[in-house]
Amino acid sequence: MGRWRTHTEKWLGAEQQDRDEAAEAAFGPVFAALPVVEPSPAFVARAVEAAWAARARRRWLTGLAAAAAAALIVAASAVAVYTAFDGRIVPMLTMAASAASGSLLVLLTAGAALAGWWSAAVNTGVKLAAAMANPYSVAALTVIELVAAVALVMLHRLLRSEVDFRTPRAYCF
Amino acid sequence: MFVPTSDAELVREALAGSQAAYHALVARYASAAVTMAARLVRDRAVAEELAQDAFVRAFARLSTYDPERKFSAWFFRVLHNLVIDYLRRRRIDTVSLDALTAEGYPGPQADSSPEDELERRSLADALEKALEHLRTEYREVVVLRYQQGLTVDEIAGVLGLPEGTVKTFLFRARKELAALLTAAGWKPAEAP
Repeated sequence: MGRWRTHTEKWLGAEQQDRDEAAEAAFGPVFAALPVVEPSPAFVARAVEAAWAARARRRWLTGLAAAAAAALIVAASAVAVYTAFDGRIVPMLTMAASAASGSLLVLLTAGAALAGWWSAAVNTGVKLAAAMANPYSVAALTVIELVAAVALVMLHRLLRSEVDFRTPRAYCF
Repeated sequence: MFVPTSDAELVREALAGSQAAYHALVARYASAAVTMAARLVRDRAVAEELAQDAFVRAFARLSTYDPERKFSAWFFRVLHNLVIDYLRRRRIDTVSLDALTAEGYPGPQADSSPEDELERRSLADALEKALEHLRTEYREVVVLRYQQGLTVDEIAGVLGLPEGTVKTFLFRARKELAALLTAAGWKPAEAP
């Protein structure tokens, strides 16, 4: 009788007699009979190459997403400023620059500028209401919202993949 | 030439951009990963694909690995998630292992006689067939414990289960395997 049968008989005997610790110890040598499944020779190189390619792809996508986000923010800011201040942008910038210089005269001007800003804020509300009624503005807003929605979906997917990675899957077939 | 070193050092080198270090790490765990996946999905080609995906995913999240812990336990959790996803998609639990044993069987061991090798193959066949009848979770804990050498605590971390549940799974899996092997003609030793 060979050693594999001896190991097996010992294990089965322990199981039959409910000697749990002995059975646990005896099962290891029995399980060693199972062969290790060797991967194909190119497996390691292929896996490493795939890992590096995935990293390059990830970096490229991250860069692209960052550039797109930056462009979106700049465009949205420009549209907001243009919509809010319309033709007053130049005089208001001049007033802001003067206020920054710190002279007494400019302090008074700054007061006037404050009034101008208040007026601009009121104007913004009016412009926004008008923009909502304009079909072109509605289309532009829809596009911006779609882009924002896509960005949110991508962010959600990224976060979900992170959660997926950190949480072991439950058995549920 | 890359000097063999610890898993934690290899991870550190790989994070610093060393492809050779990650190559060494993959080479170290390639057999274990493919064996583990093959025992669960019962298909050698799919097992290789899943193992490769696991190495790709592990590399992407390498910075989250805690060097204080065993790399194998961390890596097997990545692999476990991929395997469970695959099984859910395919809804398969057992298929033939013929291809797996035909291609994956190692040759006779240097220190074993032909009779010994024959007996080992016979036992391996019986075990493979018995494993096919086990629930996936039982099969996985058995492979992680007895083939990959993980502790109960580490297996609990891999599977996201309480230690008590892992112990229960191991106990039941062993009992079921014993019953299946006995039914297949393997006899227990006489009581002392």
